Amino acid sequence: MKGFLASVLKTKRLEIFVSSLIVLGLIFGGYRLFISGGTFLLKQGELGEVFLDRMFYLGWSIIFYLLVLSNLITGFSTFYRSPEVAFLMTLPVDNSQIFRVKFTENLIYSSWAILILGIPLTLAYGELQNLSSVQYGIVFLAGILPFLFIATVSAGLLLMLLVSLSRYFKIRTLFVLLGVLFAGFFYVYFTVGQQGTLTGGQLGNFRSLGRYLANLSTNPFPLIPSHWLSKLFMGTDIMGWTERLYFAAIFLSTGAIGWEVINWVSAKIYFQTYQIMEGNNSRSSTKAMSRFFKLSWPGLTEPTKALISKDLVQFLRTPQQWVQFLLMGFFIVVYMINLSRGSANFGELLPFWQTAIYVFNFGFTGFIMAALTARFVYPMISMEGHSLWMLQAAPFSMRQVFIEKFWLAFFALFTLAEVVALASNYFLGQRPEIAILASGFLLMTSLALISMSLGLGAVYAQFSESNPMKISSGYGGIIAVVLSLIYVALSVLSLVFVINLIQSKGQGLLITATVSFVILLTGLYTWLPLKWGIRALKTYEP
Amino acid sequence: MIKIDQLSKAFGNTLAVNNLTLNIEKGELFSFLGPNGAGKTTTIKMMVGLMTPSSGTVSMGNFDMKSEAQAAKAIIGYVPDTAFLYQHLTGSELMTMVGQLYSMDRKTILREQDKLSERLYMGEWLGNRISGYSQGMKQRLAFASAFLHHPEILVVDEPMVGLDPKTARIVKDMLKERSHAGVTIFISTHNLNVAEELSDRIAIINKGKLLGVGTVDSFQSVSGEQENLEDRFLRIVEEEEANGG
Repeated sequence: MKGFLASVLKTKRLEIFVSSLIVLGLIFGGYRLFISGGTFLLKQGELGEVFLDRMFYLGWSIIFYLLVLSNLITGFSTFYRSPEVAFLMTLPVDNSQIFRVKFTENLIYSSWAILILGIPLTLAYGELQNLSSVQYGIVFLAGILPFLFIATVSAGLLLMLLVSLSRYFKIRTLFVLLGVLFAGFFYVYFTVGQQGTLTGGQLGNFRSLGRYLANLSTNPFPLIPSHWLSKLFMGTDIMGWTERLYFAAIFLSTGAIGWEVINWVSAKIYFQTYQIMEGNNSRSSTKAMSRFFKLSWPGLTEPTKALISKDLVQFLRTPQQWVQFLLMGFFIVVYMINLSRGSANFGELLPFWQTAIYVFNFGFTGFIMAALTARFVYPMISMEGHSLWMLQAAPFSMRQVFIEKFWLAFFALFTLAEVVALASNYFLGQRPEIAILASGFLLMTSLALISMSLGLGAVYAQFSESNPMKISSGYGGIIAVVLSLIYVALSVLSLVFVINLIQSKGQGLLITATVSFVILLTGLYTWLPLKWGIRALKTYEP
Repeated sequence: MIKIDQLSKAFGNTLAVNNLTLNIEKGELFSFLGPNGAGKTTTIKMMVGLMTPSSGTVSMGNFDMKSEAQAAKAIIGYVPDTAFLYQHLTGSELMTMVGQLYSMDRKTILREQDKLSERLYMGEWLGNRISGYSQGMKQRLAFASAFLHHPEILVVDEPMVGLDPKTARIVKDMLKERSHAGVTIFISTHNLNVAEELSDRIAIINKGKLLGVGTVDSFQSVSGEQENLEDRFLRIVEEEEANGG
C-alpha cells in the first residue's frame, strides 16, 4: 500500500484522481442543482415553465457566441502563430492536411471545457423534459457535437477572412471591428430581439399575460444552432419524432456542408493567409503605451512599477486579450441595461420574486467573476512564457511577482464587481444592510476567485503556450473553474440564507454562523492557492 | 569573486553537474568550455539563481546564492544562450523595465540606454516590438540589458550566438573593456577561438565533471608546440570518454 501510494504520488496520479473527483463532483452537484431549480420553477405554473425554457435557450445562445469567439481567438495562434505550423509547412505535406489537423486541435481546445461544464445542464434539462435514452443520444450525437463543430467552422471561416483583410488593415483595427460587430449583435440579441418588460397592468390582466407568455416562446432568430438545439431538447409531449429528426438532420447537414466549405476555402487561401500573417510580424509598434513605463505610480517601488507597466502593456498589445475583455464588459453593460429596464416594475413584484431576482443577480455576478478569473487571471503566470528568466534573474523574489499580479487582478475585478453591485442595488432599491452584505460578499468572492485562479495558474503553468485561451482551457484551468463555481454556489446559497434570515428577522446566531462559514471558506480559498502558487513559482526551474 | 564549491545538480538519475569546484578572481575573464550536454548551461543557471543546486554552494561577490540571492542577483548581469524576451514590448520598453527591476532611476536608465544603443547599433529598431526582431537583434538587446545596470559580475552563455561579425567584434571589445575595468566575466562557449582570444583562464567540463582548469598557454604547452587549444580540448574530452568518464 505504501509503495503504491508512493508511486501514485510520484507520477501525479493522485493529483489526477483528486481533480477527476472534483470534476465529477461538479457534474453531479450541478446536475442536482439544476434539477432542484428546474423542478421548483416548473411548480410555479406556466410562467415558471416558460422561464425555464427561455433560460435554457438563452444559455445555449450565449455559449454559441462565446464558442465562436473563443475558437476565433485560439484559432489565431493555432493556425498562424504556432511554431509547429512553421515546421509542418516545410515538410512535403499538403497545406489542406495541415489545416485539418490544426482545425481538429482548435475544435478540441475550444470545446472540451464547454462539453464538461454543459453535461450537468444537459442531463438535468433532459430529465425535466422526460427525454428517453434514444432521445438523449440524438441530442448528443446530432445536436451538441455538431453544435460545437459548427461554431469551430464559423470561426475558422471568419478567421481566414480577417487575416485576408489584414493586408489592408491592421490586425488591431480588424479585432476592434469584430468586437464592435459582436457587441452590436449582443445588444440587438439581448435587448431589441427580446420580449419587452411586463408592466403592472399586464400582470393584472390575464389576456396580456397570456400573450406575453406566448411571445416568449417565439424565437426571433430561428437560423441559429442554439435554436435547433433547444428544439431537440423538447419533451416528447411537445415535439414529435418527425420534427425531432428534422432538426437533427438540419444539424448534421449544416455540419457536413460547413466541413466541405471550410475545406474548399482553406485549400484556396490558407497558405496565402499564413504568409500574410508572417509579414505582419515585422510591423512597428505604437509609442502611446510606452507611457505606462513613464508613469510615476506613487508609493510603489521601481521593480513593482516595472512589473505593472509590463503586464498592462502586454495585455493591451494582445488583441486576443483585450477584445474579449471588452466584450465581456459589454455583456455586463447589456445585462445592466436589461436590469434597469426591468427594475421599473420591480416594486410591484412579490417579495419572494424580488429576493429571487436579487439573488439571481448575485449568482450571475459571481458566475461572471468566475469566468473572468478563469479566462484572464488563470493564464497570468503562464503568459510570462520563457521570458520568466528575466524576472527570476532580477534582484527580487518570485513572491513579489506573484503578489503584484494578485493585486493587479484584484483591483480590476473588484472594481468591476462593485460597480455591478452598486448599480444592482440602485436599480433594485435594496435595503442598506443588504447592500453592505452584498458588497462584503463581492469582496470575499474577488479574493477567493483571484487566489484560486492565480494559484492554480502557477501550479499548472504552461510556459510554452502563448495562447491565453488554450492555457485557460487546459487541465488546471478546468479545475480552477470548477472550484470557483463551487465557491460561488456555496457563497450565493449562504447569501440567500442570510437575506432570508434578515428579512424574517431570524436568529442572529444563525446569521453569524453562516457569515463565519463564508469567511472561513474564503480564507481557505485565498490562503491555500496563494501558498501553492508562490511555492510553485519560487521552485520553477527553466 | 565567484566561488563554486562542490556543486552538483541531478535531474532524476542523471547527474548534470558533478561536484564542480571553481574560484574566479575579480576582473578575470573566465571561459567555460565543453561539448553539447556537458553541463555548462546548468552550471550557469545555478550561478544566476535560475536553478537550485542539489548539493554544494555558489557565492557571487561574497553573497551566497542560496541565503542572499537578492543581493547576489543585484550585482550580476546575465545573457542566456537563447534570448527569450517579452515579445510584445519594444526594445526600449524592455530596457526601461530591466533598469527598473534593478531599481535604477529613470534618468540613469535613459542615459545608459542611449550609450548602449549607440554602441550596439540598436537605435533604428529599438522602438519596434521585439516580436519582429531577428535572433541577432534579440541577442544584442539581451547584451544591452545585461550591461545596463553596470554589473560587477557578467555571466554569458554562448556570447556569439546569432551575432553578425561586426556585432561579434563589438561584443568582444565590450567584454574586454569591462574585464579591464574590474568586472568579473564568466562565459560559456563552444567557440574555441572566442575562448582563446578573450580568456584569462579556461575550464573544460564534460558530462558534468571538471576535466581541467588553467590559462590558455598552460593548456597549449602541456603536450608540445603543435597542439592548439582546439586539439587539446578535443583530446581531453576524447580521453575522458575513453576512460568511461
